[in-house]
Amino acid sequence: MLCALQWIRRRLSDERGFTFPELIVATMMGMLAIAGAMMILQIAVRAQPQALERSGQIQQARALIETVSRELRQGASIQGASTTGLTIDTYVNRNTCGGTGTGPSILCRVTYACTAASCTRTESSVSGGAGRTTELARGLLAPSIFSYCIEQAGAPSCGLSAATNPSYVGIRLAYSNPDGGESVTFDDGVALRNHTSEAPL
Amino acid sequence: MTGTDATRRTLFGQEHGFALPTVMLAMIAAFGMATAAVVASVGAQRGSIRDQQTKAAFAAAEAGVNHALLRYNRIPTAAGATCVPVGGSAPGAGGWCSAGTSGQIDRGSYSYWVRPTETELEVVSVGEVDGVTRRVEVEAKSAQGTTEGTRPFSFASVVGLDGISLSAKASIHADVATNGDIALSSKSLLDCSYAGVGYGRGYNPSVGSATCSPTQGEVSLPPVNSGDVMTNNSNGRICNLDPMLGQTCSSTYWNPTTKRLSLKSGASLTLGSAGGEFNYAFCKLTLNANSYINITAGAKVRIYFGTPEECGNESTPLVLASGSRIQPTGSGATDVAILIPGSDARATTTSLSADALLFECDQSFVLYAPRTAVTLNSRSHICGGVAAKSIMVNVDASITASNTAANFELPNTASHYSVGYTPGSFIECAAAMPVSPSAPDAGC
Repeated sequence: MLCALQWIRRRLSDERGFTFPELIVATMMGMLAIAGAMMILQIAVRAQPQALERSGQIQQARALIETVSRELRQGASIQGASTTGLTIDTYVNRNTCGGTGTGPSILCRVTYACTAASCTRTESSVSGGAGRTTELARGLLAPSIFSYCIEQAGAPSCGLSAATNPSYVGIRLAYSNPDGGESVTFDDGVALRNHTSEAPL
Repeated sequence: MTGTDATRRTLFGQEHGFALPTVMLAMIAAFGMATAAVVASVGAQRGSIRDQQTKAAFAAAEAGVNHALLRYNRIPTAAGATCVPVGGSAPGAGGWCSAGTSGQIDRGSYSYWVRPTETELEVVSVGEVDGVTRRVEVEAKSAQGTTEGTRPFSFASVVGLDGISLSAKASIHADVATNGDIALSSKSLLDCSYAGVGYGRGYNPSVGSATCSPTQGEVSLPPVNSGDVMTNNSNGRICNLDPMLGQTCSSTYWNPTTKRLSLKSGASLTLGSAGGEFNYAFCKLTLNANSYINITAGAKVRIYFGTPEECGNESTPLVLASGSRIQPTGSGATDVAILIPGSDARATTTSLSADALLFECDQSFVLYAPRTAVTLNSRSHICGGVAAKSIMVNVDASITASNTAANFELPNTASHYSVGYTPGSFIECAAAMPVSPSAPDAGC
């Protein structure tokens, strides 16, 4: 024990420095280590906003698909169908169509419209009139998000860009990669549970 | 000078570099950034799992609805006992059957509640997968859907549950429906505006002609409810008020006990009287060649048959030999239905031989045999509604729809006895699962 304390005291009081080669080598190793660490830090700092943006896109797409799927699932008839827009009479939990208060399900007309800038949802009465519009998504790679299936001669015909009162709607959301890499794509599809064969009003 | 000052001076006096602390700090910062990225990734992955569970829960809820519909489409109910298919008797508070029904599916479960009415069945089903729940409400309507009774011919005049087959040169001039295929042989003709086939089915083979395309779907036929007609009926009129010509009324031809009636060649029997309603009950009815059953003009006649179990395992309850006919005696409004209950346990068949004829097209006639195979042999003809387990139309035979079959109401069959519930409206409930089983549709 005493011997160890003496050794420590001797080392601490030792005034010998490093040799020059030792300093050079130590400096170079230190520089390399710092450079490596800085590179990792730089990559992480650069990737962080993109990861956050991608995460936000995923959340946004998930919410949009959930909303659209739910309303399509309860949909009765599709009044207008194109790749960039969809008008459907469906059930929503509202006191009044286009209102903000929630209530038992009532039949309303919902229109989805997508442009290069954004996708919006407009809720109104099935008899027409002004509705309330909300923005659902931004930053889509392409505004063409809908495709359709219809039944012809007993067999389904799918992937259509337009259809009259189709009974199945496919949804595809694509977001560009902020880093310029591969885009992220969400695919889903819903059959209308309340589908009526009545022609659009 | 204190010891602390000495230590500080010693430290500042050292010539060691800051490489290690710098690297450590940089590493910690990089680790923090990487951790943030990992957390974001884990969050996204958690969202994906949640999505998956949501869809699975939704599927489980729909499975519950299908289970309820299956039960109500397979298990008969009765007035005051409309909850029998889900293990209850009469509905409780709010019209809901008190017993909720649960089941397991894949890695989830479902629970559902039903509210049966005369023509509708409301089902609320909750699906749960790994703690994620989804609730849906479906209002199913009886396919026949009337309060007074069911109308099995409301969609099509010719219904063959398992299949409809047309041999060479056979023809059907009516809308048809089946859960199987429609076989069109060479030179056969299906003259229709609607032809319902089962899911995944079609015209098979399809070497004949059809004027409409097949539509895939499902059709069902309620069972015959004979009530007490096997004991309380109009059989006593036979050979008394209902004249039999061309043969004696001996038990060889008509046995009221065994309910077996046979008309020999050239004989005839006239049933009913104008303006009256008559229910006859037979175990077996045989019309030999060129014999006739005439229905009095203006009469409403129901000809019931017993089940094989009631009739000594009789498997061919109705036989029409060549040239035999069941026909009206005049042009007055006559309404005839032949109702054959058949059996799920014993196969039954009904056949019309060459040139046999069932009724005139300007009168109301239906042959309703949901568990019996019906065969029309060469040149035989039916004009009216035909519903059977299967229908075979052989060479040169034909079926023609009448305008009145669609209005035929199955007797003794209130709609809630019926099968054929199909989903009418679908709502995905927004609110959480209600705590009160007396109002499981709260928030839908």
